[in-house]
Formats: sequence, structure tokens, C-alpha cells
Amino acid sequence: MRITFDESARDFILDTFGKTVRDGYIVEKSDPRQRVVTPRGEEIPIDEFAGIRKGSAVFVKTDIVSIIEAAEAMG
Amino acid sequence: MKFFDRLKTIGVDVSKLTSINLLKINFTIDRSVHIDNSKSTLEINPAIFNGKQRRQIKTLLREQGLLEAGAILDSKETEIVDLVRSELPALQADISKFQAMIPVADLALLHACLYLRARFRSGNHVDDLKAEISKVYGQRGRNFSNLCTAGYLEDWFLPLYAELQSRHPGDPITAKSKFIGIYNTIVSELPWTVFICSSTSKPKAVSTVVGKINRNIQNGVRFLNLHGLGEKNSKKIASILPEIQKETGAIAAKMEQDTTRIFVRLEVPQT
Repeated sequence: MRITFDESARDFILDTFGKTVRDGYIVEKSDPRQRVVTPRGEEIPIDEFAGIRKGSAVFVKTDIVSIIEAAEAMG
Repeated sequence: MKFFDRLKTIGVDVSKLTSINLLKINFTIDRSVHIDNSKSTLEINPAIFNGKQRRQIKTLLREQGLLEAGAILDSKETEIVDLVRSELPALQADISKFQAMIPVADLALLHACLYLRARFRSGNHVDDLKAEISKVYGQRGRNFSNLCTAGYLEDWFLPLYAELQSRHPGDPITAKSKFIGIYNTIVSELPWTVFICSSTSKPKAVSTVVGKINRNIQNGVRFLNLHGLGEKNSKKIASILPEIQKETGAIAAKMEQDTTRIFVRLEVPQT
């Protein structure tokens, strides 16, 4: 099974995983000063947010490195 | 309980859906549920459910949906994800071959560069992919992608790794540690290699190559491998060779060229 969301549902998906957006970056809803980062330590501007992959809910950016990791997570 | 069945318990009307392969979440559709049985697709608009149901949908996505789907992705990424997934099986043999020698921190870089190489070998433009890799990993990422595309993983790193393992039988940790030291120097500094890219001007290319050859000579290394990918870079390298040879005394000991790439091994004879 695959799950996708369109732009209108982006905030809903972020909220599902306890995140929100502040100053253009994805942040922890419980502590908006805390920006969410990728496993490589990159902060995630909202316009580079591609989704979430399994493995402690890893946030995925739109670059090819992250997309490949997401594709691999999908099996 | 299956994802499909849990949707029913939340009150999502999936009575007309025979099976589910794709769940789309979309706040702009006019009804709470759209079903397309020909594609086993369910599209839901959470806004039309009540607050309790929305919370249950979120819990279901978080606790079960992500695990079952592997990822929950923006629909704009569907095309590239499908393309990557179609290429991944063909990359698996190379991934298995190289992953033991590559540092864990560079495994995602390896996968991305093998994907880029596969796209390049299929005749696709890869400048955008290379730029994305560089954005994530910096110059090191650009270097690795160039080395990978030019065949250095097979021709250089793998034999080196095997050689170090044979020199340290029964001590794979030392072998790997020595390999990583050399690997890091090569990937970070490209001491014996120059890749000419499309944004490099001819004067800059000449100065880079001449400078590196002179530095190598001081270190006792009297060769340099010159690579160019793509027709434009191949022509650029061919056109600057005479000036490089004139300034350094190097000879083209080996040269391979076709419409997509050029490789020149420059060697500086002992005087």
C-alpha cells in the first residue's frame, strides 16, 4: 500500500507527526524553537519537505539522496 | 487488525472499495471519500470527518500507515519515486559489491551516485542530480559522483580494498581503517584526478590541471587522470591538452574518447 498527500494536506501530515512550520522551517510542535533535522543534520525548509519515511518517522527532503532512501523504505 | 479494517472502525465508508493499494489524503475534494476500484485507490478528505475521527486517522497513519507503506510522501514526488523504485533492483548488485568498503556515513551517497551513474549510462542528463548530491554532501559529494561515474569504484577502490584485506589477513578492522584513510583523502581531495565540468572555463581548467600536476610531482607522483563527461567537456579537454602538455611536459600515456566521455592519463617523464 502507498500513502500520498497533496499540498492541501501538508499541515495535517505534519501535525500527525507532532510537527508544524515556523519561519519557513519544520519545527517540533511541542517546542517550536526546535527545528526538525534529517539524519544528516539538515534543517528542512517547508518547500523542501517531501514526506516522512519509516524508521522513527524520518523526515524526507526533496533531494535525490533523500528520495532514494524513501524509495528503499517503501520496499 | 489490517489498515483497511481499522479505517472501517473509524467510520470511513470504504464499503464499495474492494482492496486498497493507494491512499491519498487531500483536503480539496468535495466529499469525505472518493473510491476508484480500477486502481484500488481511496482518497479521503479528513476535514469532512469529525474531530475524533480526524484524531483516529492521524493515529492510524502514525502507528500503522507509515509502517505498512514505508513512507508517506507528497504526491508531487510520485513520479521520481516511481522512477527510482524501477531502477533500484538493477543497482542492487553494485550496492552489495561496494557497501562493505564504503563508510556507513557515505552509504546513502553511494546509492545516490550509483543511481546517477545508471541514469547517465542510459543517456539521460544528470546535471540536476549531481547538483542535488552536491547540495547535500558538498564538494565531497560531487567528487564521489564523478569518481563513481568514471568507474573508480570498480577500477581503483575495490582492488585497493581487496589488497589491504590480503595484507591484513584475520584483521579486517585494520584493513578497513587503512582503506578509509586513503578513501577519505581521494574523495575529499582527488589528488590524482581532475574532472572537468561544464562550468569550468578553459583557462581555469588548464590552471587546475597544471597546478595539480606540479603539486603531484613535488610529492613524487608523476601522473594525473583527466576526465570529462559529456560531449562538451570531452571537446574542452581535447582542446586544452596541447597547452597542458606544453606547460608541464606531460605526455598523454593513455586516451579513451567517445561522444559521451573522455579519459586521458597524463604522465610526466623523469627528466
